[in-house]
Amino acid sequence: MIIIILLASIGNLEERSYQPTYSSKKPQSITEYIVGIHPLHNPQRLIAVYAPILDTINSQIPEVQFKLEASRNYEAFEAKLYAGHFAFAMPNPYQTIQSLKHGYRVFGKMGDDEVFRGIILVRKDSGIDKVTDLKGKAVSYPAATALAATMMPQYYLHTHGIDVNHDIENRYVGSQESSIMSVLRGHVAAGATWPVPWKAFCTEHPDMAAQLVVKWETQPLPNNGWVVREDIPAPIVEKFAQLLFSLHENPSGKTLLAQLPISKFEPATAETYRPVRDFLEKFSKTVRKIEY
Amino acid sequence: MLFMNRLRYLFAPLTRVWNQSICRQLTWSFSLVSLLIIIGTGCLLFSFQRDFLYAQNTRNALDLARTLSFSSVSWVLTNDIVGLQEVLQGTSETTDLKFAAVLSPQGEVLASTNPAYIGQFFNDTLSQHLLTQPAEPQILLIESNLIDVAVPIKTGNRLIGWVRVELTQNTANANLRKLAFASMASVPLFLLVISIIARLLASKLTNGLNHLIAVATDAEHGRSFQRETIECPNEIGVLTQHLYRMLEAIDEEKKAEVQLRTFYQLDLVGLTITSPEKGWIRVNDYLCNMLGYSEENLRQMTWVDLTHPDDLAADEQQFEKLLANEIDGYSLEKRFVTRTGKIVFTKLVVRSVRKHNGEIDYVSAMVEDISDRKQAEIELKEYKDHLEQLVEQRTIALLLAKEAAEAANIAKSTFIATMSHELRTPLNAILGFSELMSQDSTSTAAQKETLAIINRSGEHLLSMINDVLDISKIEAGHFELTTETCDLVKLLDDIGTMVGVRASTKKLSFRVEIADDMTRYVSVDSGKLRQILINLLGNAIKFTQQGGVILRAGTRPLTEAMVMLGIEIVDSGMGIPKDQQSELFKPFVQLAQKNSEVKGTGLGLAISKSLVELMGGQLSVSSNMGVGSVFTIKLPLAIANTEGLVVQEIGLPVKCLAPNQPAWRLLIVDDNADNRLLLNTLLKTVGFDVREAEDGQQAISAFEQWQPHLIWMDMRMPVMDGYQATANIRQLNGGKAVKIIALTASAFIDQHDNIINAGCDAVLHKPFHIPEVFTALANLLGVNFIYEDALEPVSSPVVEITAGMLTTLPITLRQQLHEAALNLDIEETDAVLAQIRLIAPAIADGLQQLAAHYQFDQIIDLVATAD
Repeated sequence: MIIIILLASIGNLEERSYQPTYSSKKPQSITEYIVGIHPLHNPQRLIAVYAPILDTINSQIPEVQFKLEASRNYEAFEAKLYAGHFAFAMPNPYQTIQSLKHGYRVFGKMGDDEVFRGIILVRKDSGIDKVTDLKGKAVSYPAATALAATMMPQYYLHTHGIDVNHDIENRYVGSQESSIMSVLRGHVAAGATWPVPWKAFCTEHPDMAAQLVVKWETQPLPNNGWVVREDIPAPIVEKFAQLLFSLHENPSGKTLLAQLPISKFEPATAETYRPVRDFLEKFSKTVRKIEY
Repeated sequence: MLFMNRLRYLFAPLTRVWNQSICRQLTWSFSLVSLLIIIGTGCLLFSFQRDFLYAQNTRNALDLARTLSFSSVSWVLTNDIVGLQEVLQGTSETTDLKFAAVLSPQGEVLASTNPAYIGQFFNDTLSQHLLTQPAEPQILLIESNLIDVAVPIKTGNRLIGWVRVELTQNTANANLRKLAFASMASVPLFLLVISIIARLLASKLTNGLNHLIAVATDAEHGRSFQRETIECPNEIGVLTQHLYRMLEAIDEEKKAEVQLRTFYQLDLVGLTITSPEKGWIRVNDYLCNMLGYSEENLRQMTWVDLTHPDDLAADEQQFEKLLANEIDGYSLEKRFVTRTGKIVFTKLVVRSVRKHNGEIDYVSAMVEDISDRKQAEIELKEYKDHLEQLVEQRTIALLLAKEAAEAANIAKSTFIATMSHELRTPLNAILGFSELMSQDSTSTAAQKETLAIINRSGEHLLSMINDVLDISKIEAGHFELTTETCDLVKLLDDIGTMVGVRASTKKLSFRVEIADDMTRYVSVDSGKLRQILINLLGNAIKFTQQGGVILRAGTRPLTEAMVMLGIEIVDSGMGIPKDQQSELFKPFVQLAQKNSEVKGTGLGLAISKSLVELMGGQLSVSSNMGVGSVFTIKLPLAIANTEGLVVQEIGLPVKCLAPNQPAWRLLIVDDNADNRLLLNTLLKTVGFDVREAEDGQQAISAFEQWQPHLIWMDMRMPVMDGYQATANIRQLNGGKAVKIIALTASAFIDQHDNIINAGCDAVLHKPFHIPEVFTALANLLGVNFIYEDALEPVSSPVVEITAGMLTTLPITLRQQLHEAALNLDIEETDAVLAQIRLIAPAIADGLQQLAAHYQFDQIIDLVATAD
């Protein structure tokens, strides 16, 4: 009898198992707009600081859903932007100009244009004093298409005594934090970035930041732009822009902006980015040829 | 009920087989129980193992989901489906993985190892349920072949998706299956081994039982059983032992029965069993022969029929008691009348044998033919009566002899006491008058010499009487000791000094060895101890011609308050033969000495020994011929404190009464005229007013008429003795105030208490020394005397002798005195003193006083200093 029970229990192991069922039908049908931010931070940080802003906007516009989407790097972002994947996007000034060719229009921008400039960091103990000291060494940048953190510093270096195409090795390391970490770790002699990620880095890692020094700064240009795909209904764009530009007018909005950190978003047009187009033209002619 | 019966019917053959053999029962029981235990344990272990493996799989699924969740964050954030798919693809080779998937919060499958799921929405209940759960790891399903878990993908606290992992349990189940099959395969093996072990154990157990059965069967059929030594200590062993013991007991009983039967028919004593109704039941041959009937005949009779009529009542009385359960048995002597009419004396011992309820079953009796003994008894009784008569006669004779002996002893003691009294009484007069006369300045030198001879002879006589008296007192048990605090060291030193000088003149060495730790102050009759030591040392010096004498003394503690004083007097004399040593201490025995100069009563050693024993000690002697003798004293003594030490005072001779005192009236009561005269003369000379009375009656009259201040009362008088007189006077007017000093020649100090109880104030023993008289008067009446100057060469018995006085004596006399004193020879000393008395009576008296107290050391000192 016992043997029978034992056999039964072993047979029991062979019972028919659970299988999930599925369908292609989406369970709910609310309109979703994907909002893309260019990789001015790594994806997790980007979500951490921008998602609360989108949450606020979502709560004010319940009839549609805005979904924030990060991108692994500039190339991925640009690919998605130029493919029209994003309904709304905040590209950098260079990409802003480029997006106009891919069915987007400018409706706003980040404030604080004075922070939109390039900075070049070196290690305090590196002994680098003049731009020419970089000759024969490597310099890190987030990406080739980054305006403030790459093109503007390259233009600066190029106009301050070295040929960036020959005298130094240009390394595009993917993100602002990677560029800073590369110089900190000594992988490169100097690292280019721009003030917003540098300030954030200083706050989050004061020990590491103390080992670095801002050696050179470029001239500023208009800040990152806000673009929208042209097929998005105007009332939605209206509501979205209105909420975005009034964030700095209430305390909760100010708290959210302080995380970025900027003082406000403001309206803008394609005309606002003419100085950028001029810089790009100069850059393309003197440093390296780019599309603009 | 019916069912149960049927069941029983069905199982009946099986039960029969089961009941046939204990061995089979044990084997089956053991095998079945062991198998059940093994299978049960196996199932338990299998269950544990299964639970363990399933729990481990669940953990693995969760771990995998967590890892995937962590790796997916960035891909989900950037909506990078391709990257995500790559991450998941890396896990597709995981063992037992059914699928892994990343879901959006809305349930869309973003990536999956199962391509069919990608881009789909799970719509089953379990999957829908997951989307409503909080962002915590979830175990969705655990089944025997499936584990389904989900872990949230989060950035910060924001839920951005789920990783869902499903694992099959195929590996675990395969392991479990193997385990189960292995277990089941080993069951028959276990069963075999267990059966063999059970069979062996059961056989071992039942072997013993089988042997027991064989033994029991043998015993049953009367065959001698094979006794094998069963050494196992278990129940079988114990049972075997008991069986053997039982069989042995049965054997013993059989033997005993044969013995008993043999004994029963033995030609020694009659044995019978009778009924409570007094009928014979069984009678042995001996008794049948004794009574002259066959057992058959006797069974038709009762014992009453054969009992002598005179003895029947006694036997029946006892038998009734036996029947009434008052006694269990009895024995008596009675006579039977045999068939031929002969009378047989028998001793009957009867015992009842009772049933369980206490009722008598039968009565057994032993009948002994004692006809011969009876005859002997009669003869013995005659002898005994004669012997008792003889003993009685002898006892009476012995009692008479004992009474006669006791009476003789009492008579002897009384005689000696009376004799001493009668001797001391005239001696009192002799010594007193001679002393008084020698103090008289009108006496001539010749008279004084004569008086000295009288006095010396008297003293000698007194000392002889005292010796004899000592012995008689000791023998009569009347000897008293006066204990006082004594400085042992001083006593021994004094004696040592004295003896040392004596020894040196005899060219003998002498030393005193006193142990350092000797207790110095003890309670002892120092006078007696001195007397003993001087006697022993005197003997030692006397009988030692060369070598020396040692006085060795020491104490050892006995208790806190007692010490044992040990004194040895060792000499290097000629020794005492063994056969004479026992004679040494007997009174009036003097050992044969070459030196016939030795004089004395022969009482010295006897007195010394008696004194030591009286003090609770022992005096013994050991001696080797030609080597010397050792006299050993062992004396237990109480330790004294030094406060009790008394310094003896020596009184000065009285010249006359001091002026300005009342006219003291003294009454002398004594039946002896000489003694009255002595006291009268003594007191009148000094200046007292004195009257005399001859007996108690006269004393009472004299007291009434004259009212004396003090009465000298002799205690032993005719008409009315001192006791009566004193008692009467105390009743008279003024009788309480008058002082009464008792005079007694009794040598027994125990009379002292009687005298004081009779009402006397003090006691004076005759013969007394004159100073004692005056001291008593001074103490009782407070009389003041004028004393003679101590240095004045007056004839005073208590003059203190100085060395200066002795220089007036001729050197030869001094030497003789010295020698006598060294010899501790009282007789010799007395002889020398007699010569001295001719020249200087006062000095002689003084020296005599010292000698009388055995203070030879002082005499020796004085002479030595004078030289």
